[in-house]
Amino acid sequence: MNIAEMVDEKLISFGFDAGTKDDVLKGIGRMMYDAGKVNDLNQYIDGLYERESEFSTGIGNGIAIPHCKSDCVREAAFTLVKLNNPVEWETLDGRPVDYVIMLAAPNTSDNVHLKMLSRLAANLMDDDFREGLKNASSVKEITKLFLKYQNQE
Amino acid sequence: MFIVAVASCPVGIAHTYMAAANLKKAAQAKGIEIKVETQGATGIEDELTAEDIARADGAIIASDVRIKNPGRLEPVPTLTVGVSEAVKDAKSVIEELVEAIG
Repeated sequence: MNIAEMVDEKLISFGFDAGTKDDVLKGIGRMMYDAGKVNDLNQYIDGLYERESEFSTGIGNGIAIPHCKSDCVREAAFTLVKLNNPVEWETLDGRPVDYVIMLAAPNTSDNVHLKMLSRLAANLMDDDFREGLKNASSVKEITKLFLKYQNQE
Repeated sequence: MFIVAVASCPVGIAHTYMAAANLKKAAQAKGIEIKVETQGATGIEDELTAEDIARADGAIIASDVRIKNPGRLEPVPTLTVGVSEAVKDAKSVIEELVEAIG
């Protein structure tokens, strides 16, 4: 399986309005719900906040990866959301966040899709992949990037 | 030099794997052989064997949660850091261990 197969246009935005971290968690959490990936919006958002309370998901270079694993998640999914304005977030390099990859993981034994999410996270540690993703301006560019990295493995 | 590491995080889908990727990258850049066990939501991968641990010069635990089976690493000089530290700056983590084991 390839991460490109998990790309869902309903979870992609190249210009999302959010003023605060709360706006991001609630607004992008709702994207997950509206796309049918999550069946209980409040439970999902509570899960995101619970995970944030452990330690922040701002991984540096303007990227945040809020996530949780919950019964309310129907299927593993991720968002690729560019924010119109950077928002304050506790991050590893102190820089604000302008790109949000929100992950939703179900409480199942479906390891294949969970592994895809983990591989996506690991790929974010590659400078070229990360910049390619942040600079992509179409879904096509994103899937092409994913396929390219799949082939390198 | 051969280093073993264990990475783990609260949910087990993201930071564990970012830390593992960075530790590998940082070790390889220094010409250090490394094996990283990931303890994530999908279970344990690349599990450290008794042989791995027996020939390891040092170990790194990158985790904020209690890892499974920590006693295995007892015979090896071990540096414990938060998983975020390995995500943020794996190079420094590797350097700190290398300095400590001299």
